[in-house]
Amino acid sequence: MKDKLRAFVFACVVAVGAFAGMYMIWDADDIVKNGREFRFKLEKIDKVGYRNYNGRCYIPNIVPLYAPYTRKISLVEKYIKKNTAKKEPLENLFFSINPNVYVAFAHDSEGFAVVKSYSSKPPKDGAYTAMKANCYETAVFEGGKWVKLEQPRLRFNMPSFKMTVSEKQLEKIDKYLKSINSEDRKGYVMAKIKDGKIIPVDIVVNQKSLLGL
Amino acid sequence: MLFERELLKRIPRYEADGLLDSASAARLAAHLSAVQNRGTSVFFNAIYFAGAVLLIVSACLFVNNVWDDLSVGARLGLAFAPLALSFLFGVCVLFFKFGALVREIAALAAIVSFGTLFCLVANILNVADNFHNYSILMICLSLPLVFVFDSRGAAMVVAFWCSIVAGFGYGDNLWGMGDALFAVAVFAVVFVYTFKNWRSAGVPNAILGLVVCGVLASLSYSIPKMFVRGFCPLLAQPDLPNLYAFYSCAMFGAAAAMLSRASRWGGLPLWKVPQLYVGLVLMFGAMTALNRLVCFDGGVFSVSAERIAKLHSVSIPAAVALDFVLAAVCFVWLLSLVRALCGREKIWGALIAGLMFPLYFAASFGRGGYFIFVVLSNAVFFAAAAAFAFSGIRRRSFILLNIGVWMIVWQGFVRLIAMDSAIIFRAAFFGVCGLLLIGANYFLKRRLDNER
Repeated sequence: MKDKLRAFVFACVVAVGAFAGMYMIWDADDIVKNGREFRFKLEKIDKVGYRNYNGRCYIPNIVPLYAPYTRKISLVEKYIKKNTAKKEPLENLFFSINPNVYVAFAHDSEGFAVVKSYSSKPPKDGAYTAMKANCYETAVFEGGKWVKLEQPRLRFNMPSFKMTVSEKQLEKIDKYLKSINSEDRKGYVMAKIKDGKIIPVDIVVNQKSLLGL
Repeated sequence: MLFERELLKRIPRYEADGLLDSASAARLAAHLSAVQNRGTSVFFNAIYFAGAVLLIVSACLFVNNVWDDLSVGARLGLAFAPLALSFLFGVCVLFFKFGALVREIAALAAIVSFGTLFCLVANILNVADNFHNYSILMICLSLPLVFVFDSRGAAMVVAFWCSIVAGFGYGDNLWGMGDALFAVAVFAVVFVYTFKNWRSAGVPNAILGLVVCGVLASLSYSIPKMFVRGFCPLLAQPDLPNLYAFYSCAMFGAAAAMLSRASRWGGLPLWKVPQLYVGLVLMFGAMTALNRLVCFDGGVFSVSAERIAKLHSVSIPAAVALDFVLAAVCFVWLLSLVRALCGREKIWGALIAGLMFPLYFAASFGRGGYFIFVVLSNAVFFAAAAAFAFSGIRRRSFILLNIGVWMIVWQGFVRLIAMDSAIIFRAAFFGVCGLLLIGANYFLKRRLDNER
């Protein structure tokens, strides 16, 4: 009897695990079908194509996003207050503990994703995700010197996208990228976002989908 | 084996029907039980195990080879295959009453299959990493397996994972107080399971005890950090040294609890009393942290409570809650001390070392100076070391003697580092420590040899 009870409990646990797996599949499918589409610019694309190559998994370099620092974040305020006593005014603050911030996205004039707003709590709009703010910038380095910004801004690093491709796809991607000069490569990652969850669906370089090669 | 198992079940019925008398039934049952328990030899077990591993590796390599050619649906279906196989294996183990080793393998196989399923689905569908949800789910699925299979391996996995959850909790503000409480609750279940079976002999129990006590040491550092971060995030910053002092205080409390618990059981060798081992490691670590000048600030708790109360983002109840946590830690220490004093065996060195906790607690609330604390804490520490050493000589125990000697060596080493003394002084100190270690052990050995 005891063994039957244990077997029943084990069956329930396995059923819960299987259900969790199926829920992951359903949720991902829902995001891809019903999520809002956003494009995130890629940084410099080298001949291999991606920053990290790990077997079949690629992690593309996404250009960091910025937002004017208009809404106060408590940890950021702490860093700012701690550093206001310093003599050098043009100094960007790098955080030792990167605060997680919920960032809502919008499209710019070219159709790429930009930060619409940010907050310490999830917004009601579903096109948002949690990102780490890693720097409070008051100046940028341009033309060999520091130029003060009109409005301080927060810098956000996108969560890492892992995209899985086959070895055959890898060969095709490599061949295609080698056919383009590195300076002429311009690309973006197309992602679907819904309720704070983000799934990359494609990588486009010079108007051509790499996953469709 | 199946025949013997079936026959064993039928013996009571045959006896009731008069086919066997009671003496014959008892002899037959004993014989069949002996046959069952004999099992297969170690050699054949190893062969079967190696063969099973090779089969699994072969299947994985084959799937890896054809993975790129499969559709997304086929890959997702294959992701569920390990779970299905581990379910069948687990059910067979339970119904056919296999031994402890096979039950452990079934439990661990189920855990691995859960992890494989979630990782493969995330990889196939490019789902972003969410270690928080993954950890909580794995703990929830692994914990019942501890009791279903009576598995020490599964208990170790759950204990380690609680430590990981608590370790992540303070470093990332997406993990909150709920995660700390969840990790503590789950760990408490594993702790009760471990020490409920403590008296049963066996290496797996001993290893589990060591692992659980080690995780307790880790949690005693991480959980207070999570609580502080949950209540007062502005204070949870690494450039505030006062918080390290608070965490060290909590570690001392945990060390004292474990040491006083160990003193109830006594019963060395050391591996049978993991609380003693882990408690000492905790105490050494906490003492090292507290000897750093920057880590101590008199009245740190009073000051911190005022700061918490003044912050507009947290309220006065948060300050009260923080003080409540400190009081609770103090209460646990007192309770452990009382139980230790009522126990049969007393390791006085451990009890004296436990006095460090209320001493530091009082110093952290009062406004006394660093110097007074250093004098008193070092006096307590050396007194504990002396008590251990003398206990070792009296009870003819090398372990207790060496614990006492190493406590003195360690404290001297820490003070040398803190004071940044001259080379000649350090050389002399290490020489004295070497002589002390050799001399103390030689003295006890000579005494034991003379008594024989």
